[in-house]
Amino acid sequence: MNCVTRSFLSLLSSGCLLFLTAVPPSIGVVRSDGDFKVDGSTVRGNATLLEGSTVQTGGTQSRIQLSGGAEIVLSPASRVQVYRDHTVLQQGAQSVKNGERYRIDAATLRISLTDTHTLAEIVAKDSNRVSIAAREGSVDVRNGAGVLVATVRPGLALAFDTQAGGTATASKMSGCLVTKGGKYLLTDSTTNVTVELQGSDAAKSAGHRVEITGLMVPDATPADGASQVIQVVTVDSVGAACGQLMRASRGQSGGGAAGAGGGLSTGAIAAIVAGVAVVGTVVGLGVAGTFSGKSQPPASTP
Amino acid sequence: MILVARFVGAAAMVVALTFMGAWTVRLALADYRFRQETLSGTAAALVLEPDNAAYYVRLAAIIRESNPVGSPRALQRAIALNAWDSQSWVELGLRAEAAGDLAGAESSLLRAAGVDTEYYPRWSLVNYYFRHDNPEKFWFWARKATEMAYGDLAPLFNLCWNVASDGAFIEQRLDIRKADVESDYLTYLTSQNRVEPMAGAATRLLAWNREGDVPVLLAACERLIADDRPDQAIRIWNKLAELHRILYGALAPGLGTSLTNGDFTILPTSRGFDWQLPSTGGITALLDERSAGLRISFSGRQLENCDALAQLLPVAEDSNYELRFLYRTSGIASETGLGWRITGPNETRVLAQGESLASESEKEGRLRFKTPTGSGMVRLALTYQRALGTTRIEGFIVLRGLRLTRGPTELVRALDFPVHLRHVSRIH
Repeated sequence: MNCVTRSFLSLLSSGCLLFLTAVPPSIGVVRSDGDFKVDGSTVRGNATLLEGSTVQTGGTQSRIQLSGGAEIVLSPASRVQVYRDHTVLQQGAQSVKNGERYRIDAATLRISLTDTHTLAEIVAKDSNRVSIAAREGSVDVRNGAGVLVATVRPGLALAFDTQAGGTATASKMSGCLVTKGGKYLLTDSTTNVTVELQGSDAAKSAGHRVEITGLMVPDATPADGASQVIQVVTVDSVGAACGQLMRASRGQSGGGAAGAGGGLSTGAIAAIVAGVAVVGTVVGLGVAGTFSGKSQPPASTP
Repeated sequence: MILVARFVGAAAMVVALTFMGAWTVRLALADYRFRQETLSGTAAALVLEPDNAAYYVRLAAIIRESNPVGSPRALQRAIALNAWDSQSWVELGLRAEAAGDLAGAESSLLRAAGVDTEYYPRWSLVNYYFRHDNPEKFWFWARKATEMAYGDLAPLFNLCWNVASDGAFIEQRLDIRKADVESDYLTYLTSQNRVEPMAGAATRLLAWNREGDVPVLLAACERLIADDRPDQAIRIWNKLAELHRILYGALAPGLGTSLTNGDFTILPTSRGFDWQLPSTGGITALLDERSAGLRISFSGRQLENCDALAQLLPVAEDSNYELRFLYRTSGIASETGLGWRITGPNETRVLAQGESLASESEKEGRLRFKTPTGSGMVRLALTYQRALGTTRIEGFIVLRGLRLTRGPTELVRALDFPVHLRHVSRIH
């Protein structure tokens, strides 16, 4: 066999080998002390995750370590689809940490961890209702169109209903109405979302705590510090000046637990942002098996 | 002297029993605290029984988040006490991998496989080498895992198909030698619609001749039919028939044997080349014992356009065929839309449409059709298409004695004319 032929065959076999060994990169590892399912198949112990793998837990929690650093604890009887940069929580509950800019999609909401130290717990109650708690760090919650619906502060939890709020632009907020650079800004006391208010009624209550209803103006550019523009329909002054509001709100944070377990009743809804109804709830959503929770150890071989 | 000896013996016995009792109580208490599954309970259990590896494993799990340094140490202590605990070795390996200690991870995982030759440690190594793009070791451990495989093997096969895309290469590397694994492999290929290696895997599984594999083989057969590979599907079907795993005869389209269960000796199973029964509401089918045929009833609430019965027929291309059948109806008026139809396998092209079937007394019917060039399969269906001006039919038809014959050459020319259905004789 001459040299040229040998080189050609060598190249050919190398090419075949490359073809045969083109391994798609894994995105992480899932492990559990019991059985779980990956893409519908039962797995015991641990498995490698590929982009878009679906993980479903049975009676025990599963822990997902993503190569990007994010760590996810999936509660029993939960199901997620896992990607390199986000998960889609289809059922049950999950906790996430070490996932700066990591996103969790639940119902139609997009939930983002704001920094690497954030520890969030998300419970998908059904296709419309989601509860989110920020144990450490803050969590941004946006609707399907990318509009900021809430910022969940550390130690707080909010329950969301994507259907109960009415139209996609419906808004109902309460908080301190301030003037900044000739614009009227309101930071909702439940969702921590700051919006710019438009409408003649806004000016009358500046500097006071108000409750407003209105409609979000799509495609409008909000003032600095605001995430959206609201065309005000009604403004009700609730009396207290903004300084008093701050003291009062501290005493109320974490209240309004109604709605975390069942649907959000109209009376319980604390805010409606971009059509998403929001109510405050208590921290600790009952996520079975979180980073701090008790977990089952692996069975020891005698 | 004897009394003294007896006294000493009794005293020693009492001391020993007391010690054993106290030790038993101690162990029981440790076990009780361990089962509380709390940090304090586990710590108390370790005080009472400090050399129990299982307690350290539990401790490592409980403090996994709160004490990232202590947790692996507890795991290492557990392994020091019980070096045969492969699950702890695997856990230690996965933790080392997460921490970036790849040498430690590989070492621990290999140690797990060294002390435990079961599937789990090998599976863990398969995953490890997959993640770290080491195909040589991946295939080595994939083969090892296959030797000890049990349960759902789809995850293992899935990794293999992510590493390579050549079925023959994968099969050679895995070296499957167990019927259960072969069955799992064929199930995997079918579910993933990996058609190319399916026939080979089915042939190997058929060699084991196991009753339990029939559903898997029929599913593969159906997948091959759906992928328009009638020859491969027939090979599975015929082998099952030869092994008497199905109650039908072999098919030989080249010799004109294309129809299955034409006498309706058993109720159609909707599997493989057998008749497919309707899944739509308003139509029911059962064997008619009186006339030894199939009775298909229409409730009047069925869809206005639906199949009542269908079968995929493997046929010779560019050939003419004649379907003959006996039938009678009850409560179904003529020209109301019930009749046979021959189409291509994907139902897009109608090759022949029979006349509307309605006769209170049994008749023989015929339907001739010609198969197109390049097609090895046609679909025969008894269809209902409500005729204009009629209400949906309510009644039944009894079919029996279906025969499909490949026609003589001269018939090909005759079939150049539009296909039609003829009543050739009245039986009753």
